[in-house]
Amino acid sequence: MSSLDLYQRDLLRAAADASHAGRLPRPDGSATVNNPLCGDKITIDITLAPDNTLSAYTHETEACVLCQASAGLIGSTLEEATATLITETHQAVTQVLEQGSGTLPTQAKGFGIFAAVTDHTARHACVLMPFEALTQAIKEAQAKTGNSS
Amino acid sequence: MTSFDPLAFRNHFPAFAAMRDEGRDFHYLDSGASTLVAAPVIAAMADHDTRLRANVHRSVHYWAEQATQAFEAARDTLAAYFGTPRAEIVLTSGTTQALNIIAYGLSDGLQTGDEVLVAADNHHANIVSWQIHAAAKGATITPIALTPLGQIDEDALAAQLTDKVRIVALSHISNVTGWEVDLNKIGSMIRAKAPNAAIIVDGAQSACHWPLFETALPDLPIDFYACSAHKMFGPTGVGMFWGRGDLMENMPPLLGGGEMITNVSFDGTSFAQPPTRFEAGTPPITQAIGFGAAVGFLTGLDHRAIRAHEVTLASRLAATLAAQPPLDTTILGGADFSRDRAPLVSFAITGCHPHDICQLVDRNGVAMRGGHHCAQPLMTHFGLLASTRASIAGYNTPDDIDAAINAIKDAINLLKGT
Repeated sequence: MSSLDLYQRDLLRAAADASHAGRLPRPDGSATVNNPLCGDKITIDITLAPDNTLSAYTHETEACVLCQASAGLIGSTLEEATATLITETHQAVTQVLEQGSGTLPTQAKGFGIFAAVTDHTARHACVLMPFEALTQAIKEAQAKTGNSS
Repeated sequence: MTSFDPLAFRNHFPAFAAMRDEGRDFHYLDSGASTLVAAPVIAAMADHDTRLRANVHRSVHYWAEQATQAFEAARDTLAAYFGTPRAEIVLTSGTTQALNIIAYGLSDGLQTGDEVLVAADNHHANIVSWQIHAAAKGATITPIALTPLGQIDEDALAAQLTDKVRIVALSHISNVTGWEVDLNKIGSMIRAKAPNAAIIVDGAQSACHWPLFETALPDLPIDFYACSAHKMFGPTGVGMFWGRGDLMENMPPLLGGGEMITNVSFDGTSFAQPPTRFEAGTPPITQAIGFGAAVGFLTGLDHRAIRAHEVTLASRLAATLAAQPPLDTTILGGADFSRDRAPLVSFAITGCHPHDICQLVDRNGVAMRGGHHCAQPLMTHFGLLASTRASIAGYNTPDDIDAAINAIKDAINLLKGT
């Protein structure tokens, strides 16, 4: 797999999607994750609805294209998803990275673009950072709101 | 000045022939992380592991005796290269382990109220080791301020030097900017104003061209100096530090086991003299022999000619990147490589992440490093999270620089959609 394949149009488009960039004024949960390899940073704010779905999501990302694309795709495909679906997507994306393919939930098929990252193990963390931050933010929100998955 | 032929120099490094055989473009600009390995090093290690494989300082059979002699001969070679007594050369797994051994040993004498000054351009190894060991004794860790270009702010340092300063941790050459610290000048200032301070120098980026400095380590106003073989055309897994004998005499060991003792009992254990005291367990024998071969190889080189060649390439790369407005590039430490600077060109391009640049140039066979380079405080100083670094060695050519420039431009075009 060449680096050219890695930086395909869909991935660059997802990275450029700024529709969920920024911070929420009153999040239920927030989390910041750093990449120890390069110092990249992502902060995610969320709110959870009473039915435990992701009712609002923003990310503030100082990171590479892969991390930006992952954070952007979460916004465009997983807002209004349940915490359970988010966990399933996180696991499926991890599988895609490790094995080059995986069974992504229908709603999250767009994450299949990261199959091109499989051979670049040093970059897996870039894709997964937003999920790690989102998972932490959901836990914080669930603790605050009393919801649980 | 002696002319230097980088293409002829490449013949010493089998990696070039191997990549040519594979049909792979190969523009290796990551020697600041690890240099390529020289042929005599590979040969020495293979010979040892083929014919004389045995542990050292233990058994009495022929092979063990030969291994011990080869291992200690490597120490002799290092001592000659750096101009030190052989008993003051401690073999370690690398610079990081060396700095941790030093930090642990010197921190033993620290107490609350003592101060440790750490240059903010240091690699994490010369920061975190002090945070772990010196802070545990109640000492205060204080950064040494930098100038806008990332050099040590000498006025600020002078104001920080008092009787309370017990440790000053410096980087001889920054692994990000390439700026060299004048150890004679800075060390003398520290000696004069902070007479109780031990001066510890991370030499990871300077050891490869030590003959350039035309001095022996003990003649410098410093107390410890650490380096790694893998940045000196040698193997990974081995490094060393030099320390003043009187200071090492009073340092406890960080690691226990193996030959670092004189006697062990449950009533108490006594330690061997340096350097053995700091070489616990079976040492990296094959790697140490390779390290000796690497330094033997370095000893025969014209370092002045090589450095001139390297600086020419670094200057060309930095000037080209800095002069092209579409790139909107910042060269960390500035684009002037004409003096006191090793050929490390770190740069940041607005809107293009270093990892993306490095990943994209890789398709053209250009090997560079992106990230914080284990120097996050220095990145913070420059207002960055990360940068891209091209680090140059004698085997690099103008073709490598052109390939890097073209690949960087292509990467930017793709990332910025131009």
